[in-house]
Amino acid sequence: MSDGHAAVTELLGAWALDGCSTEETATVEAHLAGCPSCAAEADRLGRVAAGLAATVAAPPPARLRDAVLAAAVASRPAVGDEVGVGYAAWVERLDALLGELTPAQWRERVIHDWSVQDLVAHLTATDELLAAQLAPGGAELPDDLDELDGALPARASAAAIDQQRGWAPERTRAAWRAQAERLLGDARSSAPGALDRPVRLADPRLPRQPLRVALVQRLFETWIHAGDVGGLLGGPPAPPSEGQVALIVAFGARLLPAALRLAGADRPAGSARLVLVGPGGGAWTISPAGQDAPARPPEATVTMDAVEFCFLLGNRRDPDSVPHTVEGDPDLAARLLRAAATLGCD
Amino acid sequence: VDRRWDKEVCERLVAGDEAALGELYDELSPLVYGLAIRVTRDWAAAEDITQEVFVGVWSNPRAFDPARGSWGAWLGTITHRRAVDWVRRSVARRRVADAAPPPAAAADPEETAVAGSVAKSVQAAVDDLPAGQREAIRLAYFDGQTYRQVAETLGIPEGTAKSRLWLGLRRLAVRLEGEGIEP
Repeated sequence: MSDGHAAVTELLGAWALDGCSTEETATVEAHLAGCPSCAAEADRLGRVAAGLAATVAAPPPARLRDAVLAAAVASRPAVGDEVGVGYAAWVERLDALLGELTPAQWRERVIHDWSVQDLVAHLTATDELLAAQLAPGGAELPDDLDELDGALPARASAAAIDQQRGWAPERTRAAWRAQAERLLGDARSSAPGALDRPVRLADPRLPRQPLRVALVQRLFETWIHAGDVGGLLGGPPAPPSEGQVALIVAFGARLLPAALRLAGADRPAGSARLVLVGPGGGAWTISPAGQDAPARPPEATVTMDAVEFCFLLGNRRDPDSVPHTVEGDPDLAARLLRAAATLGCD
Repeated sequence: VDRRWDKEVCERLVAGDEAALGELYDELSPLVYGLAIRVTRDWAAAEDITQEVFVGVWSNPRAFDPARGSWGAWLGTITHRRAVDWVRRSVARRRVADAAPPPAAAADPEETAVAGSVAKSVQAAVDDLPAGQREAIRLAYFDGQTYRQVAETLGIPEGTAKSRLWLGLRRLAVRLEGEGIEP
């Protein structure tokens, strides 16, 4: 048995009682995923621990029943719609991580030259670009590409970071969370067509997208920043689920032609094949914006891991060095990967 | 162990049957609410947690796997995790706010009658644990302490706290399984 196994075994009792630190919990759960004997023991201890709850059962106030059932029915996302569920899960995860931080950790530099507080202010500012469009009487942006300001997200971020540096961390966290909850309310809307409404993404120069696609961008950015904060706390990186990977890579493939055009990288015109392997992956043909399916075979085929592609979209991988293989035109492949890295929000 | 009810409720929830959620609530909301209020000692938090747990079950009923245990065990597990998160968050909040004294504890809900035959068997098994194990489990499970905090509270090494929690749970498992009870 490895040391890892022995260390996990002696933590199982504490783990079953939710008495481990976040890092230890992650270590135990990573081990359980690959060790059937520990997993069986963990299940058994977990059931016994849960059985302790029976000894303190107490009926809730009667009024709670209707409130809970109404909230449940109002919350259920449409069948097959994973965006709301996935976004909610990452909001929950990031909020839990923020709850772990000491005041000193809130000030620690986490990515770029941002502290955690700056990071959350940035996320709040980019979430707001969507939330503002959904608010009653929300601002309408012009349709003319030349009037749209690609620097808007960066400016909104910088302003929020500046403003919130004077805030208590809990205020920054609460402001982000409250706004995310409002977005989640829209994500879970059961009104027909609610998720089909066209909205602007964080970068307003990208073509308008249905709300469900904009929410994938929120899910994906929240996941990336949960990873940033999780890294600070020393936990292992948490990848998105297979269904979420599928949503994120489809988002990337859909927006890549426009990203190439904004980067001025669609001349000379050429289409490329993007093959993403692993759970949630798939294959796409990326044609220059405004062109239909190409008449000729693709000039380049880029093959890489689907989760790595998600990190690339979030600008958490270097487009030149992220593991990938290219067949065909290496220059087109490089332009494609660089454009992909611009589709995140920072 | 008969899991027919657990499976049937699960299938009905997946199919979107609101009545199944009502049935699950009527059966298990005392377990969820009672545990949440015991750990948080805050009625508003306990109501929030109860709501979150049942809303979570409704939005994602497939997270429950009847092969791995009962609805009671599953809801007990997720309720405990949420309640403990709440306790740790509220401790962090107090630290950030530079520590007003902790809110007065609500009346000890352990006083609440232990109803039901499973609950009585579990309580008897807990009462028969060696005092050190019983106390460690009480602090970890009902007060939401980490094993490090348990060690500190009891003035014992962390390794001892870890092994008391583990041995105590094992002993409970062996005894309850011997009685044919699977919580």
